[in-house]
Amino acid sequence: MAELNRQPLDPRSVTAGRLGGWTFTAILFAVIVGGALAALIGTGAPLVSWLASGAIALLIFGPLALASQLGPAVRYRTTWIRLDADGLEYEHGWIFRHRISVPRSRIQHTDVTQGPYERRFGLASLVVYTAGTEHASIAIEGLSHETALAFRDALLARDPQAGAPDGVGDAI
Amino acid sequence: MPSDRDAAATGDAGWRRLHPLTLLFALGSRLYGLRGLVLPAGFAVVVSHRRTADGGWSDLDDWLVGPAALLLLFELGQYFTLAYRFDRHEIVIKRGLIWKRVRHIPYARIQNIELVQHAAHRLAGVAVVRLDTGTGAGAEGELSVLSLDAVAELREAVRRGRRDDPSAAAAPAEPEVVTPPGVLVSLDVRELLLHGLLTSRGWVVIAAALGALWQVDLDAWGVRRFLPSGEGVLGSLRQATSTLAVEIALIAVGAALLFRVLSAVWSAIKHFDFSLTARGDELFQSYGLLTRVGRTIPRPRIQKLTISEAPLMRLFRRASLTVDTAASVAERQSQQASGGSHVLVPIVPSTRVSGLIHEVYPTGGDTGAGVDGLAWQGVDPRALTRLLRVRLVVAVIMTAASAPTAHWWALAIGLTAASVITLQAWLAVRFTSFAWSGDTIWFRSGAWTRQVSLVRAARVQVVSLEQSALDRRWGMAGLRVDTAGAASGGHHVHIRWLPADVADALYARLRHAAAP
Repeated sequence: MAELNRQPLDPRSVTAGRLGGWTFTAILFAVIVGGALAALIGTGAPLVSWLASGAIALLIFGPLALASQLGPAVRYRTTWIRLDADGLEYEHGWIFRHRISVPRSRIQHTDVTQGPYERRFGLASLVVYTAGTEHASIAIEGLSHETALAFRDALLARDPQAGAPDGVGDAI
Repeated sequence: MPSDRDAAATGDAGWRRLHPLTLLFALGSRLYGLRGLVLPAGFAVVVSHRRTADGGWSDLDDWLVGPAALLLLFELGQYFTLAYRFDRHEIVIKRGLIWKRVRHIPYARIQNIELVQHAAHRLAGVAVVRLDTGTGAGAEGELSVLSLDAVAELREAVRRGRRDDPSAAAAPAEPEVVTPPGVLVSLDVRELLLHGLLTSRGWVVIAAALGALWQVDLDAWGVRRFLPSGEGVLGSLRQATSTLAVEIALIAVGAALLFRVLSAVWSAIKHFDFSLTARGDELFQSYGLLTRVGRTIPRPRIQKLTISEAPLMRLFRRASLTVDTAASVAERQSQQASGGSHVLVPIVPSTRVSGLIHEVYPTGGDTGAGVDGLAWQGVDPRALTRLLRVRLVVAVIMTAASAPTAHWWALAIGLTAASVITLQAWLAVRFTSFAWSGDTIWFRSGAWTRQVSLVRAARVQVVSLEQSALDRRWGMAGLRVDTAGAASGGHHVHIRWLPADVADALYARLRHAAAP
C-alpha cells in the first residue's frame, strides 16, 4: 500500500496566498474606500467625518492586510500532510490545532483544484470527500501540484498483491 | 496507476465531451433560473422598441447585449472545459478554465447512477446524469447533458469497473451477530403513557391544538360560549386566592400538569402498539394509532447509537435509544434536516439497554458486562480548575461591568452567577467520560440528560484531534469522531479536556482501528 512521508506545504504557497489575500483586500479597499470618498466629496463633509471614515477604514483594512501578509506564512509553518498504513493525516491551525485522520477506505472521491494564482506558482488544492457529516469534505490548500497529484494517486492506488484491496467493504 | 497529467493538458486520449446540445440546455436552464430578471427585461425591450419608431437598436439593447454575451461566453467556457474519461478504477471529470478541478470517482464508490430526462431532453434524446457516491457533502459528479449512447457507455464502464474491482463486490466483512427473528421490544399503553409523562412533549399537542383553533371560526360556530374565557378563569382564581403570587403559582402548576397529561396522551397515540422486531440483518419498527409507521433499518447501516436518560426517565429507570443510519441516496433528499437520525426505542427499562445494544449494534469487545461495566475513563483531573478559572474571570468582569448601573445588586448577581458556573463546571467535568471496548468508542456526557453514544471503529469516518491555545497551555486536547448521517444538534462523540497524552493515544488507537 502506497505510503507518503510527512510533507509540508509548498513554500511558494506563502507568496501565492499573500497575492490572493492582497488581491481580495485591494478589491474590497477599492469598492469601500471609493464609495466612501465619493460620498464624502459629494456631500462636502466636514473634517470630523473624514477623520472618522479614515479610522473606520484603518480598523477594517489594518487587520485584513495583516492577515493577508501573515496568514499564509503561519499556514505554511503549521500545516503538514502524510499518508501511512492507517490513512491520510492532515494537521493545520495555529491557535486551534486540528489533526485530522481519514482512513483510506472512507474516501469517496477526490478533487485536485487549481485557481489562477495556484497555477501560476505550480500549486494545487487536494479535496477529499467522505460520508461523514462535519468533515464531509476536507480541503488541503497550498500543496505543490506534484504533491497533490502524488497523494491523490496514492489514495486511489490498489495494491495488486493483497487479496483484499484497501477498500474492504463499503465505506458506510 | 495511469496518470492524467499529460492527457489533461492536451485534451486527447480518451477524454469525452458532453453532448453539443449541452450549450442549449445550459443556457435554457440558466435563463429559467433568472426568469425573474429575464421576463421584465424582455418586456422592457419590446416596449422600448415601440418607442423608437424605426424599430432599430435602443439604448436598452446596448445595456442587455453585454450581460447576454458574458452569459454565452461563460456557458461556452463551461462546455469546452468539461471533459470526462474512464480509467481502470475510476471515472475522471475535469472542468474549469480559470479555476480548474479534476475529480476522481472510483467505480467501486458509485452507489447510484441517476438519470434525469425532462420533456425537452427526451425530444433531443439526451439526459442529465448524476453519479452519487454517498458523501455527506452532497455534490458529486453531474454530467449535463449526455447522449443516450454516452449514457449506455457510462453505465457499461461503471459496471466493468466494478466487476474488475473486487472491493466493490465484497460484502461488509464484519462479525455480525445474526439473531433469530423475534420481537426485541414491544411497548404497551402503560409504558407509552409513562413515556409521555416523563418526556413532556405537551407543547406538541398545544401547538397542534392552537393550529386547529386558528383554522376554526369560533364565533361562527358558536363554540366560544362553551369555552371558559381567560378573564373568567382569572376572576374565579382571584376570588379563591388572596395574593397574585399564589395565583401565578397555581396557573403554572396547572399548566405543567396539563402539559404532562397531554404529553402522555400524545405519546400513547403516536407510539401506539410499538414494536421493534429483528429479521435477520434488518430491524423493523412499527407504531402509531392514527399514522401507522413501518420502518426498516438495516443493521449494517447503523452508524452511531445513542442512549439518552432524561432526569425523570432516570428516576423511573428508563432510557431511550436513538440511531443514526447512513441513508440511501433516495432517502437522503427527503431527510436533509434530520440527517439519518431515528428514535429506535422511545422508552425501555435501563436494565435492558445493554442487551438491546448487543442485538442492535453488536460490538466486538463487549463481554456482556453492560454499559456500566466498561472501563470508563474521566477527563483530566485539572479540568475543573481550568474551567473555573476561565469562567470565574469572565463572571468577575461581567459583575464589574454591571456594577455602575446595578450597584449592590451587581454583587448578588455576580455571586449567583459564580455559584451557577461552579456547579455547572463541576457537573460537566464529573459526567464526561469515555471508554474503549476493543472495537468501539463510547462517550458519555451530560449531568441532567445523561447520554451515551457509541461508534464502532468500522463506522468511523474521520477522527480529529483538537487543541486550542488554552488546551496547549494546560496540556490538554480534545477528540472528535465524525460519522455518517449524524443529525445536527444530536449527541456526538466529542471528548474534551482530556490529558494530551491520553488524547494522543486514543487518537492513534482509533485511527488504527478504523483503517481496515
